[in-house]
Amino acid sequence: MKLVKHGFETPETIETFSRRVVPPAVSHVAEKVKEFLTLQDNWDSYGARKTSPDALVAAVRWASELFQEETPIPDTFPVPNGNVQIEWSCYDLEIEIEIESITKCSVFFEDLRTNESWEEDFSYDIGKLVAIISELNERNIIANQNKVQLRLVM
Amino acid sequence: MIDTALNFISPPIGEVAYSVQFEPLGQFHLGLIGLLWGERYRQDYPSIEHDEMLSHEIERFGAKNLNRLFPRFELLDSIPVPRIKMINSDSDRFIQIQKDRFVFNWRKAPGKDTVYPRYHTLKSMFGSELEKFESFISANQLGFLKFNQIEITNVNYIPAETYSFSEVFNGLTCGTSLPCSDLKEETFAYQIRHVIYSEQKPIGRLYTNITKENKVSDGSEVFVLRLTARAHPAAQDRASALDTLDALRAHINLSFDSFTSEKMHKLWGKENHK
Repeated sequence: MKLVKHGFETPETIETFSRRVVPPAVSHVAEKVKEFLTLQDNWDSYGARKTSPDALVAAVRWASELFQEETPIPDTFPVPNGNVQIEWSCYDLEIEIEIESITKCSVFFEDLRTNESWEEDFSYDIGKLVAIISELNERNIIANQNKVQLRLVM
Repeated sequence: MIDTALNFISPPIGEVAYSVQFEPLGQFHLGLIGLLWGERYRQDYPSIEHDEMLSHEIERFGAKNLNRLFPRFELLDSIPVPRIKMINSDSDRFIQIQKDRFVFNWRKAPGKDTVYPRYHTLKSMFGSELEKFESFISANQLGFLKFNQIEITNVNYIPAETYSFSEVFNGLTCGTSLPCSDLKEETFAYQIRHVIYSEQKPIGRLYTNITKENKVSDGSEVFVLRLTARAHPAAQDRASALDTLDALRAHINLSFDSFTSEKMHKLWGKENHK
């Protein structure tokens, strides 16, 4: 089995506002998905199921819809039930996205700074999920700015 | 629920498509398509054509990147099974099937003065052809169709050589006619997208497109008013899919009624059953 990229698909024609750059975090997920294609049943020697084609395709689709250029590279790994998990543990945020299909992902979120914590499934209305990824992006931008300032001082 | 009673004696409609999209069927191979056609559809739809697969569309809400371009990925372990078109002998109805879609189309047959059979007639045909497909899927143990998007498209053709843009469309005349100038509008494309809500939650989108094009058959100029409404159903079964189709049709009617002028409504024989 192979992963085929069809290029950009959009009816949009206003180039000024369109972005054709694939964010690094999306490319990362696509690369991991290619790795998971080779997994067979019992890949963890504890009876895990091989990653489902639905979850593999959906992982790249969800990443494309959610991630921006500023999104940090996540940890991406197969789940024994055949799903794909994408997660971050950084900047006092714990975000776990378990992807089952193009219309279903389950999310665990925890913000250690505010003590906010929740678990929720997402299908079509993804506003809450987009908001936590935006928060992650903002903290990543600030952290990178601080790194640059530190370098300048040294 | 919005009013759906809009009706025209002779609407300018030239094509309709009713589509259900479902979670991809894992084992849908060419052999099964041949069997499906032979067993269920060949008698009424004797001609076959192939085409590239339609992409899996999902109307999602809450994302900020409206102008973001998404690369599309697909997993392939062999040559992809194409989209199959099964066409009836009059060439005015056809069914399109692929591993994640079932589409029923009606169109004015080329060279014939076909009368639009009306929504309820076509919806009934669509429901019965879809039922045949579902029973085939079940009989061959391919799983269940889990519908995730329902779609309806109406394409209207209005002669542009007979009627001006301002005669046909409401409130969209800016720039199409510049008085006292040597400019004459040659072509244009107008599009607007609306979010469809149900019980205050977003469920889909309505796409309205107006263009001026040349008919392939005789090269004459026509205004093309294309309305597509797509939404996820409340549940994943056929009954819910058909209910969603009714709701989407109502939105399409609303847009058509709003964008076209009273003058054209009279010409098309608008009837209001209130």
